[in-house]
Amino acid sequence: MVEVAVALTRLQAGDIEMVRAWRNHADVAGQMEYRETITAEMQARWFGSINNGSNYYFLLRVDDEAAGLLNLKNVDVQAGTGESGIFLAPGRVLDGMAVFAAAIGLTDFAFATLGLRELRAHILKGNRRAIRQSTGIGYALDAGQEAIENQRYRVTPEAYRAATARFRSLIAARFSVRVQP
Amino acid sequence: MDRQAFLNEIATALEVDVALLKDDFELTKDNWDSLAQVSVMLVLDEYSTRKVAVEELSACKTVADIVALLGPA
Repeated sequence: MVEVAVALTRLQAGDIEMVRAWRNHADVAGQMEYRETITAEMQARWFGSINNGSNYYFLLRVDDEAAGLLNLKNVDVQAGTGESGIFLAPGRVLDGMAVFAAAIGLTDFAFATLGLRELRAHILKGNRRAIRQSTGIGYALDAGQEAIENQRYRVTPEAYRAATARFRSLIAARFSVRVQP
Repeated sequence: MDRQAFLNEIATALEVDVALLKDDFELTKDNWDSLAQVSVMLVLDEYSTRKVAVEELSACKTVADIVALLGPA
């Protein structure tokens, strides 16, 4: 029997003020390239620009509690590419295993459902947690990115499967992961 | 159970020198991240005779708390 329900549900207009509050929190903004305060108007404009078939923004719920935001953006099914991202709501740092399960759900969705062949991610050089989480599921730093502050990582389905193979049964035994695009 | 082998694997999972891994070694937001938690859970699955719950692991504050999840020696 699984212990924890992890759900990724498509971001709705009614969620965006909660997400804006998380995103403006110092713990979250400090890990982002853009750190200025985001206003309600900016957030509404942003939602209008991403609420379409090229972008999948998911609210993460852990046992029905909103806990973060995961995304696949700039999805190009023809090219087989997209860019992933994730941030946790402030104070949800102990949901580490659930976040890992969610990242697997998102990446499975990208590779198995959308049929993408490569995902990219940008991570600030000093964001050790995000770097470890990403490399833990197979992302690797792109060549020539060492001196760049906002570094680009990539993962292929093959690298992803190889990196996550040892975690699969552990995650399956403890988490139910549902993705609702 | 080989306690030292267990601690070696926990040190690897936490990416710290095993010599630093005393019982009071604190799990902080800097070292107790998602990869560390799933990696430690893998080690517990190998060494523990029972299935450790996600909640139990998330509640750990020190290495001693992780060792306690193994149950009686």
